[in-house]
Amino acid sequence: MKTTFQLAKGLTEETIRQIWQRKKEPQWMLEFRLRAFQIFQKLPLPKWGPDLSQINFEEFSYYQEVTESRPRSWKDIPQEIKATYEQLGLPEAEQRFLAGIATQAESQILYENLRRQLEKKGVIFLSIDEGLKKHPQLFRRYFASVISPADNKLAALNSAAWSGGSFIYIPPGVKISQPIQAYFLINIPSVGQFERTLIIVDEGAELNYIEGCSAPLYHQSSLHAGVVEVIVKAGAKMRYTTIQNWSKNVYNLTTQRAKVHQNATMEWIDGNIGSRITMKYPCCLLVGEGAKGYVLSLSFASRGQHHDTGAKMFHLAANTSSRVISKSISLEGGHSSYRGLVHIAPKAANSKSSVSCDALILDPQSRSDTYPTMRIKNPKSLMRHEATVSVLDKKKLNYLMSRGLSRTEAEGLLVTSFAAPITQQIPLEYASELNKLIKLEMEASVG
Amino acid sequence: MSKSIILELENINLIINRKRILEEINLSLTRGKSYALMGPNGSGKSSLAKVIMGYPDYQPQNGGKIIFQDQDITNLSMDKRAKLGIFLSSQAPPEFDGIKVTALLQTASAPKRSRLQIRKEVEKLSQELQLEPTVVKKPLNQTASGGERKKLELLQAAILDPTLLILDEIDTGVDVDSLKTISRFIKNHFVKANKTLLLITHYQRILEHLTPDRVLVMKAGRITRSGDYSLAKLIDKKGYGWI
Repeated sequence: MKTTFQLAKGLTEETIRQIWQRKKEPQWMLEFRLRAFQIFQKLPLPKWGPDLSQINFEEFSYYQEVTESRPRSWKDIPQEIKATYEQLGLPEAEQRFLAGIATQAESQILYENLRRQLEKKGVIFLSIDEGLKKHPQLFRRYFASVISPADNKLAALNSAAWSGGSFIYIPPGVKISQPIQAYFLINIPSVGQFERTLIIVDEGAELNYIEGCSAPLYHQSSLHAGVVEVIVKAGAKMRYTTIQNWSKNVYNLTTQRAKVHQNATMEWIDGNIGSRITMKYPCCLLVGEGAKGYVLSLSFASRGQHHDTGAKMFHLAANTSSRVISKSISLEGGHSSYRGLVHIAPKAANSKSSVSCDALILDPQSRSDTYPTMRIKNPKSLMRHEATVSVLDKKKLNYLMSRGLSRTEAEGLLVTSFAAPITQQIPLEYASELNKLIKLEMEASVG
Repeated sequence: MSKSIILELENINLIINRKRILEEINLSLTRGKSYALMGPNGSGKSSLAKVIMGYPDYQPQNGGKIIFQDQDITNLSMDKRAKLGIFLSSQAPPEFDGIKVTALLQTASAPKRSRLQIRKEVEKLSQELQLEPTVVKKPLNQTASGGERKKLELLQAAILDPTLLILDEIDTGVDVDSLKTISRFIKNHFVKANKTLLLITHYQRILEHLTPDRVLVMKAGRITRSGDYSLAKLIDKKGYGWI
């Protein structure tokens, strides 16, 4: 994509006013952004977890506009990235889009049919900026209603500087069985990305949403501080799948949270492969009786990577239930941690929560930690936590090699089978993409 | 070396944790012949098989050599030996929690044979082995009985198509009917195809179905005796004490 306008580096009240002006937003959004900016300045970075001291917030340009014209040609794409796409077996259209050749508009043609079908049912599927313009009331009612700017420093930064992302509304009773996909791409060096996604699944409706990220490699550090807010109304069902493969210089510090109403179900499926540092704890606020929350999380941390991921479950009503399955793989000095919170409030009687964390460590240089926190305030509720740490089973490795699999192939097969409980939950083409990515990463680590 | 020799072991010694496991083993196997390797528990039969396959902890010491089809494979890793045509069926195959036999074989056979080809072959061979489809579709050996595990080993062997097939107690934990199925399968796929067979067994039973050309007897890490099929019958009657 070609940048046609870009703000000077750094974030000030003045730059926020400029963002607001260029985006022609209503007055209330300016006030919201400025308030968030004040909070951002006051809040410290988290003192726990990975080291974020290398982030220099003055280094980023906080807003740019890009053209939708054909940005660059296929031959400009680095060979290694092309090779990766090819090994992944992506369809060419998808390769071109991921590489930043095809424009957003072009790729939308691929999904035009689907879009028309959705529109007929009253579904709104827009960029977040269009969402604000075309549906101001709906937007304002729900925007920042799940994640307040004061939640954490990065959420405050996103609230002050957000641009890009999706706005989705599913009317009552409308069920979308086919997964809806969205691609995000960091393709401008040293630009922070502050996507904002707002999804409302109205009563009895269903949505299956997939966000896949694949970023080319760049030299300068990039920051991705997204905010994803989901509202799942009574009896509704939502599944949000993320496959994250940012390049190894990206800080991925994303806040994701869902408010889950009576008898509604929210499922977060989170696959983290890329990035330098990822801090991400998909959260469910189980506010309605009988609400259910799930997090399935997979982390693959290789050399120079630290994934601090997990889940947060707040049981705030009776008969709520939650389940967390976390699988992490560490190799080549990679570091992955599970950090989780289960909170069962005094009024959340007869609630259940179960958490299981399995860590696979491939070599002695790599590391895995578990930091579970449990606050059970209701005596009639149940909580179960299991954690395992394992190394690759030599017996199985030898067995596979005795059948002619190279060490890398054998390890790849064992690792992907360890991840299978998560990868089996995502659509086949994504699962096989994910498995291939894991194998590629493992081959690269062997050299 | 004569063209008819497929495997030659020269002065194989193996010490693990200061314990002598194999001592000065010298052995030649002739292409297309069947061998029975017998001997009491702990005599070194399985260890010898692992030395031939190339298990990491089973590297021969003191300059022992393994020559397979005129190639010195002493320092080759297991996967390379497998690709050259050696197959060892495991005495106690491990249970996997996510890997199906088809996926294993697809990876092992790529890129020579397509995934679809392998899937079809697995289907056909499992019928021949009287393996339930549900057993084949589960992760390898998960909740499988002893007999089913042994059949799954043979299924893999048939697809990987080795020139030297080492079967380590393929008859242990197998009921009479399954033993017949297994023996018939070995005969059809390997004996008739002129493969070299090394059958490690405690029992005469399987040898009634698959008559070996030679019988080798191990004791305390050495091959102490060899003879024709009558030796196996003798052992069945008298045990190992008299050797």
